[in-house]
Order: sequence, then C-alpha cells, then structure tokens
Amino acid sequence: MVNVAAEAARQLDFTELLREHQGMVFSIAYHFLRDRAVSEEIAQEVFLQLYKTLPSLESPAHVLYWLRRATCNRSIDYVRHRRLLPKVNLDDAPELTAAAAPGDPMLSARLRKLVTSLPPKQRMMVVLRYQEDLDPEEIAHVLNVPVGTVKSQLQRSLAMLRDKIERTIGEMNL
Amino acid sequence: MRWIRGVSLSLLLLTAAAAQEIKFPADLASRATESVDVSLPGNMLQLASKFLSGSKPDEAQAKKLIANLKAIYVKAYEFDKPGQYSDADIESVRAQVRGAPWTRILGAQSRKDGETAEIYIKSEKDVIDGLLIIAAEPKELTFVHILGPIDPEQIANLSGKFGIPKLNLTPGRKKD
Amino acid sequence: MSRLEDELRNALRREEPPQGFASRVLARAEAGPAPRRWFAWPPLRWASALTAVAVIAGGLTYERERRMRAEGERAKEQVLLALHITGSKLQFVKEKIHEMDSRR
Repeated sequence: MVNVAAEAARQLDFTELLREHQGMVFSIAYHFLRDRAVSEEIAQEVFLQLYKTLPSLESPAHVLYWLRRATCNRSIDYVRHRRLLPKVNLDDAPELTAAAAPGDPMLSARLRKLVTSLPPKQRMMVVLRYQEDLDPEEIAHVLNVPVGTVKSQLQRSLAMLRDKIERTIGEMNL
Repeated sequence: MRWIRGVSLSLLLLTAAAAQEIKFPADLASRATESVDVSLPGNMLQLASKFLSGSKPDEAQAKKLIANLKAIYVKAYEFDKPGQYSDADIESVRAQVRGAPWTRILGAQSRKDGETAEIYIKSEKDVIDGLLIIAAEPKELTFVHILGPIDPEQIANLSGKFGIPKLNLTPGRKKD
Repeated sequence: MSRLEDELRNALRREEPPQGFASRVLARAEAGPAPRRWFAWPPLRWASALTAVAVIAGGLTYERERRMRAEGERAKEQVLLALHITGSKLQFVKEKIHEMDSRR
C-alpha cells in the first residue's frame, strides 16, 4: 500500500512537471534543431529519463536545471552523432506559433535560420540566453563551460548575426 | 458515349480548377535572397484545421477563416537590392486578374518610391470567391492569393489578429 | 545590440510541443519496463513472438501516426504563417492608401 501511494505521488509530481516544462524542453530542442519530429523525440526521451531520475532530484530548481541540461546534451549529441547541420531552408521551416507577437515575421524567420547556422555550442548558448533568458553564469553551469567562454561566444554570435542580417536587409539600427 | 461525357466533364472540371490558380513568375525565388512559398490546397487546409486549437484565440480565428476556403498561396520575396524584379513581373500577375470576374478594390502606386499596393477580389453573383493582394517595395515583393468564399468582414478581421492592427475595409468599395 | 537582442527573444519564443505530447510521454512512462518473471514455457515463447510482432506493428503504427502529426503540425504552421503575411500585407496596403490620400 505504501509503495502504491509513493508511486502515485511520484506520478502526480511527474505529470505536473511534464505539463509545466514541456514547452521549455521542446522549444530548446526545436530552436536548436529546427526539426519538429526529432525535437519531439528528444523531448520525450528527456521526460522519460526524468521519470526514472525524479526520486534523486531535490527541488523544483534542481529539476529545472536538470531538464535544461539533459535537453541541451541530447540535442547537441544528436547533431554531433548525425554530423549534420539542420535544414535551414526557410520554405521547409514552419515558423509561426499561434501567439504571434508583433514584428516582422520574415525577420524572425531569418534570425531563426541564422541561429541554426551557428556551431552547436554557440547555438545552444544563444537559445538559452534568448529563449530561456539565462544569464552567462547560468548558461555556463548548464553547459559545463567557463563563464568567460559563454560571454565571448555570445558576443561573437551576436556580432555575426548582426553582420549577416545587415548584409541582407541593410542597416536596421541593431 | 456516357463515358466520353464523363471524361469530358472531368477534364472540364480540372481545367476550371487549374484556371482558378494564378500563375506567378517562376524565377523570382532564384533572384531573391529570402523567399517564402506557401501552397495550401484544400486537403492541406483541412489537415491544418484538425490541428488548429479551438481554445487558442488566434488558432480558433484561423480555423474559422479557412473552414470554407479552397486554397491559399503566398509568395513572398526579399531581395538584397532594388531592381531585382521588374514591373513586368507584377504585370504578368495583374494581367490575369484584369476584367471580370476580378475587380480591383484598392490600389496605390508610387513610382517614385517604387511601391505598389493592390487588392483584387473575384466575385460571382455577389459572392466573393477569391482574393489577390500585391504588395511591392523596392526590395520586397509579395503575392497573396486566396481561393474560396471569403467574408469581407473576415478579411478586415484578419488584419486585427496575429499582431496586425485592423484594416478599415468597406466591402464593395472601389478605389483607383 | 538591444534591438537585435529583442528580435532574437521574439524569434526564439517558446513554442508548444505538438498536440498530445504530454499524453504520449505519460503513456510511454507508464508502459516502461515493469518487473516480469519469464518461464521457459513454450506457450509463453509463442506469446512473446506474437507480442514482438504486435510491438513492431504498434511501432509502425506509431511511426505513421507520428509522421501524420508532424505533417499536420507543419500544415497548421504554414496556415498561420500565410495568414500572418496576409494580415501584414493588408496593413501595408492600408498604409499606402492612407499616404496617397494624405498627399491629395
């Protein structure tokens, strides 16, 4: 009876965590890989791993850190294992979500495409910074790299993105 | 003889269906630095409709709007400098909607700025059955072609969704 | 750099996973490796062979459904993109008409 109750409690927690964090996990994978089907597979694997690991996690913050780290590692490993750059054809990539924010949809699409062309670690840093709003220290912790590396690579990525955007559509006062 | 009539009817329907589609210049994508090419025939619209959520406002609105549509085509191009497309590219599209059943209902052109903005509707027996938007700027060219019964109110409402301010569009108003 | 960063935040907004994602995860989690005691008993070998066939068939069905979902999600996003561009260009037309009227 005790085991059933504990199992039920674990199920409940897991379900809540799943619903709370599914968007975050899926989005990290998706913005990194730009492939919805693969991103869903990776997100599912992350949550299945969480299901097994949950008893050893100590707090909601620990779960959040764990989920980000697992998603980043699996996404980067997928790219390295496949040795491919994700598809960057604008025509192939469905771009908008239902909650469309104001702004130029084509600029957003181009930016997503340019982000996808960054090397894997840099790309993930940009995703964590601008999707998850993590600061460089938090990104360094998730990706297990020095803070200085995160800061310099983020700066380099922004400079590259700004340069490419301006070359294609002219000065944007970025 | 019946089968000949059946085949003829099928060919006629196919021709009619093909005739509804506007032909857009084929080589614009090769001249553009960025392009968006969305082709959504009826079966894709139906499939999309199943995945549009009724509980999210934008998706619910989109679902309602596409419910009776036959197709949506969007061709959007961005170029790295002016002069990468010509008036002839736009005219080749315009020529296909000149005269009944098409009517230009809104239009503005500035040769000085190199900008063109036009809306055409296709109507038969007071029912709007098609919409064409031509939007041209020096480094950007967009065609939007929607086939099927469109409620002018929905067109006006469209520009109120997806973060775009509302368009004040009076049905039946002609402007040159 | 701030406008570029704002545009990046806009471009990289979180997206919802495909419909039914949570249900699929829960189904897989609940179906996960349960303790079994296998006997070297011929009927169970047949049962396990049939189970293997069912699992493979189920896997193929899952794969087909996954592709259908991916296709449907893609169609949905293409519709939203098309409508967004349409709205944007309607606004462009409105602005040009307004500019023209103002000049008169």
